[in-house]
Amino acid sequence: MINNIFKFKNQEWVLPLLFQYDAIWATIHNTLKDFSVELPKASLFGSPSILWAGGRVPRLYGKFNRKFFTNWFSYVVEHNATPTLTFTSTKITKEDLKDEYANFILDIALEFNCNFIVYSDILKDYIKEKKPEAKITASVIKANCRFQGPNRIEEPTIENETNYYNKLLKEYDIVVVRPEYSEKTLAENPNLIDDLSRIEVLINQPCIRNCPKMPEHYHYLQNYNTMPNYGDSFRCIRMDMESSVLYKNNLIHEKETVEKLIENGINILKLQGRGTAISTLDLLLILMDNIFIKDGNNQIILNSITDNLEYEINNLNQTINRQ
Amino acid sequence: MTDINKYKNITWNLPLLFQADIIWGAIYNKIKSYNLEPPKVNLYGTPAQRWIGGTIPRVKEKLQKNVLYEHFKYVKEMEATPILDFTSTRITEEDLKDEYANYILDIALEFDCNFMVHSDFLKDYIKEKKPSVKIISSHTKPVYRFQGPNRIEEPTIENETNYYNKLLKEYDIVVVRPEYSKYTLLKNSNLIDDISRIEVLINQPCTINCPKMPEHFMHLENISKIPNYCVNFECTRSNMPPAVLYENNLIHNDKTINSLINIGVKNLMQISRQIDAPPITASETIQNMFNTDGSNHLLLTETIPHAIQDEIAKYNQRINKILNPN
Repeated sequence: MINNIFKFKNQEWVLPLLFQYDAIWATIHNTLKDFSVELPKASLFGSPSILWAGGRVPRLYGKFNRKFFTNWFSYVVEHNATPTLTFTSTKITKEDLKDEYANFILDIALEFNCNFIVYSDILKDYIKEKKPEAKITASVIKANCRFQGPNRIEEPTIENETNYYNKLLKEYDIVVVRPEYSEKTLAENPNLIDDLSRIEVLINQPCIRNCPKMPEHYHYLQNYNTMPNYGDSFRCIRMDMESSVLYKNNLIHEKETVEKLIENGINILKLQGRGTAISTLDLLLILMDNIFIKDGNNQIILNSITDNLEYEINNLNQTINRQ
Repeated sequence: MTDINKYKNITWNLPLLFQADIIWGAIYNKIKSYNLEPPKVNLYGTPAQRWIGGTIPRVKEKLQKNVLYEHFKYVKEMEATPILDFTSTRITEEDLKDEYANYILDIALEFDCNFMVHSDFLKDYIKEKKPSVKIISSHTKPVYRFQGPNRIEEPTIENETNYYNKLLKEYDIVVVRPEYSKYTLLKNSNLIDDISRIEVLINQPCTINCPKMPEHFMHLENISKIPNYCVNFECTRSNMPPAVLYENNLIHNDKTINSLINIGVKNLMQISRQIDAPPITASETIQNMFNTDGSNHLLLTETIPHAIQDEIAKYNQRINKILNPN
């Protein structure tokens, strides 16, 4: 049994692939199965363009029928992953909860025991009312909006932030913490959090620490869900920073930090995507770098994964278009 | 933060010359932009020409002098030494007279390129033109000697060590078989006369002592030289169960490589599996050379795909200026 291929001993990966790059997980799953490697749990998160979706530019615009979604969810489930819908819009109103298409997708998702990531408490309550056992994650954007930017509600002190996450843990099944919190406070003071097993850590955010423009950036991206030709412009702070400064100021967790977090009791690691312009192959290579140890014989497996990707992309296209 | 270079004081020999030089260009420029020090690197390869060995060339057309000049200049600007891959296994007197191959050779000598050869005949020919030139003995030499149905002798420790010591007298650098570096060299390094001139191929996915390897090289060489050549060849690995492939390969792990460096190895070589897929080649090149944890992941894995596109655009502009000066 090959058991030394994974970089970390976490029990679950939360990956930015649903409705965008699902073939990546399927390829990894199928190849590792060929090599008899046991995989950790995986959730694939994402959303088509709908009113409730949040700050990721969708790849799937337009309205699709029931068969389309059941094919897609089945594909993900067949590859031992849980589809996780990112209903992370920051401006959901009571009126928005009545949206027909969003509810149509929600109902199918509930049939497939999908999980959900949300920002809005009223949407969380709405989903839980429909299915109390549905697993709902508090999006990291909740903490970003609370602690960052000109409209922040409070300063991100250790006490404020810890209290906030402990409060969220009472209301949500899983809570994603800000990487600024996990890389320092959580690594050094894990005992402050009430239930580490329900904390999710985002380990590969390239942003600068405590970026004041993050909430604005998120809102900018969010607009693409309902306005595909949204033309307003946003300039990320990083674009004007020197490479050598960026190298030291980013939120990508060092290997030792992640190992410490897992030792402390963190089970769930999350990887952020890189927009929708990135090729499937490039994203696969980025994710593989985070997930696997690329040493010696493991390269045989990893080479197989990259070799198998194109086949799986074709397979996915055929699957979702089946009538 | 972890040091970006996986290994210290190593010269890397990468399969990128005239194949995907822009990959090294992208990596080199990125590392420099972060005020970090890149490792020492050679790029090996060749455009299509008569002395080519088992490399399928990407550059098939005949290159003008000014383009060749510009290309070598480009490689040198990245602090890399071009190594012409003249590894044909069947060089004759007639081949030595080939006009185009000599034309490339002469320009390469002007630029102080190095050479990798299989044929002793060709080695002597090049040395006669420029005695100070550095010539690497190709890894095909011990493969033909010790593997396949036509092998000359069995690869015992004694036979193989003697062979490399003999080659060390005739060549500047000697590439050993990965079977030798992975299983013999560590325990018997004292038997090699000058380990600092040994080069280790670290990422060959082939099976150990594959009897079909010489035949495989022959087909690759024929593809480059014989128009419409039909290959009828099945790699030993094609039908092997995954679990067997996982254990039976010649990829060196970190521990082995570090141990080899500790005993004095200074030269590491990579082959390329997918030269037609630059992101894959770049990713594999990076993973073998660099630590890609934490911020290093951002510097390399994440930015290189874009950087490659930029580098391709810059390179093409540069060559276009040469070809169309007005």
